[in-house]
Amino acid sequence: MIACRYVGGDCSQIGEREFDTVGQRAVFSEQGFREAILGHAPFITEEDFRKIGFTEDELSMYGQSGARVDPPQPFNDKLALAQQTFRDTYARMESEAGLVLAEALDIGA
Amino acid sequence: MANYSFSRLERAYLQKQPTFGTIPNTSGTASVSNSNACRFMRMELQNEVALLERPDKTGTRSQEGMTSGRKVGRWSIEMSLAANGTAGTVPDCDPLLVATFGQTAAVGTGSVAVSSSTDATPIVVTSPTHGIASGALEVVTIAGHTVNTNANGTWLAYANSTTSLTLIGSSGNGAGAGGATGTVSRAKLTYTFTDDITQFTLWSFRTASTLDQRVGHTCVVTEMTFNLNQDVATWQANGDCLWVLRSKDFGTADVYQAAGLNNFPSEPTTPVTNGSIIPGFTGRFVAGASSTTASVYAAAAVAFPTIRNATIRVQTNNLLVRDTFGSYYPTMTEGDVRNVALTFNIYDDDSTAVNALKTWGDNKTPVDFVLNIGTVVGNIWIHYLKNVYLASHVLGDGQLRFDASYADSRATASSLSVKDEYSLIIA
Repeated sequence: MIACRYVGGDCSQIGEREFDTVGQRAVFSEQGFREAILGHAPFITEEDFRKIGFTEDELSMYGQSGARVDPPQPFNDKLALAQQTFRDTYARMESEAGLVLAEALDIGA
Repeated sequence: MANYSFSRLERAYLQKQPTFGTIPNTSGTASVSNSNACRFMRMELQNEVALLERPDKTGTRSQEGMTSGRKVGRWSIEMSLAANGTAGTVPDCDPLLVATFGQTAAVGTGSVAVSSSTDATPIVVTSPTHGIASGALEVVTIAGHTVNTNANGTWLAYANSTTSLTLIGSSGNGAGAGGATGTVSRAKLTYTFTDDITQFTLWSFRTASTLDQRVGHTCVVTEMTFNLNQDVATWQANGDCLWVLRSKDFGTADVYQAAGLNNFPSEPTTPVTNGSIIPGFTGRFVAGASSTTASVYAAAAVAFPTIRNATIRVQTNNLLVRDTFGSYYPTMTEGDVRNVALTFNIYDDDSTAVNALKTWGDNKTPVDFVLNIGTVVGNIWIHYLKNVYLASHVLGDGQLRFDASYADSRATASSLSVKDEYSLIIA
């Protein structure tokens, strides 16, 4: 199982569960994590999230997308870094998925 | 007893389809997954099978039996305009947009701090090196800027220098220059045309799972339409597909219909979707006479606050070839000239700007338009139309205030090499 945090700018739905708050927790199977990332749901692992260093105050004041008004620059910088981490993860997984599909179809990747 | 289905109990899944006539699969098992889900409002998937009737005289007026002819499918879909919500990340409807433009979106990244801004029309923002080449136009998002707060938002910007940007269509509201607060972000997706034609696969799964499930494969986008000033912003698209395969008929499907599958898949169990709706009446409508010199356009273009509604219709004219000898089914794609047209309606007044629109229409002066739908970063759709030849306006008195309508005004490329008549930016 993979423990993750949501780092999206808006909201995502996975099955019937809604995510709309930066720092919102989720636990996925390895396959579930892969499908969430490839479905462009902005999650990063708990470990990556900790490294970015959001404070509890920041998350409670500016975490929820619908209530976020003019967050301070340090929060924006951390959110941008978290989203870049997500994008990097996505790019890696998409590349892997493309290779698998190419092998199955016997075409060049 | 037979199961019935509520029409809301349906989900759509979109997949890019790299190979003509082959649904994405691994060893015959469809690769559709939770990550391909996309919310929608309405969808139609239907087959069109021609009927061949013997034209010879029979000596009677009765028609004898007929036989089936060429086969093709049609698809259409309507959905809320909803981006991912995280700037620079593709929306759930990305396979549709890629099939419209013929290539994936360019992803923009990077952000720098704002140093200052001018309280002027248009606003000029300075920053450390922003990364946009001097003299170029690019969409940027300003956030967190204080004092001169009108600078905040997503703009087509002109790079006066490596550290200075003109926000096209803006007007300052700060007493004196804005402070050194906020950021200039280049995070966005930019979809631009190529002449390539790409396909996608469109799945419709309904509940109960025992019902007929469908997939339209080898879909091409023939037309898409965006509307401005709705309550909830929506868009529509339609086109050809090779065949609409039904789960109940899978056992008798021929190789063209089955498109590489050994069985019809069941619906993924935990669909992933992203993003919120956009109040369709939020955004900005900017226009100015086209110029080969970007700085001239940047200085002259203005916002039109009294726009009533607008429609952007993109006809790619991508089709499937239906007349190949030796085949009942389409065998390849084909495309005609693109037609991107803007229709809009604006309240009439005696302002210089509104009069300029009328003059441009009558003189056939090409105009560049920048239409923003939405104001929340991560979910702003910017339609950039170049060299639009406005129709002459029609003055309307069908409501309390006079308005001026401009119908089906066509956008054209700056040159045949750049194909820039229309770009879609999501920021």
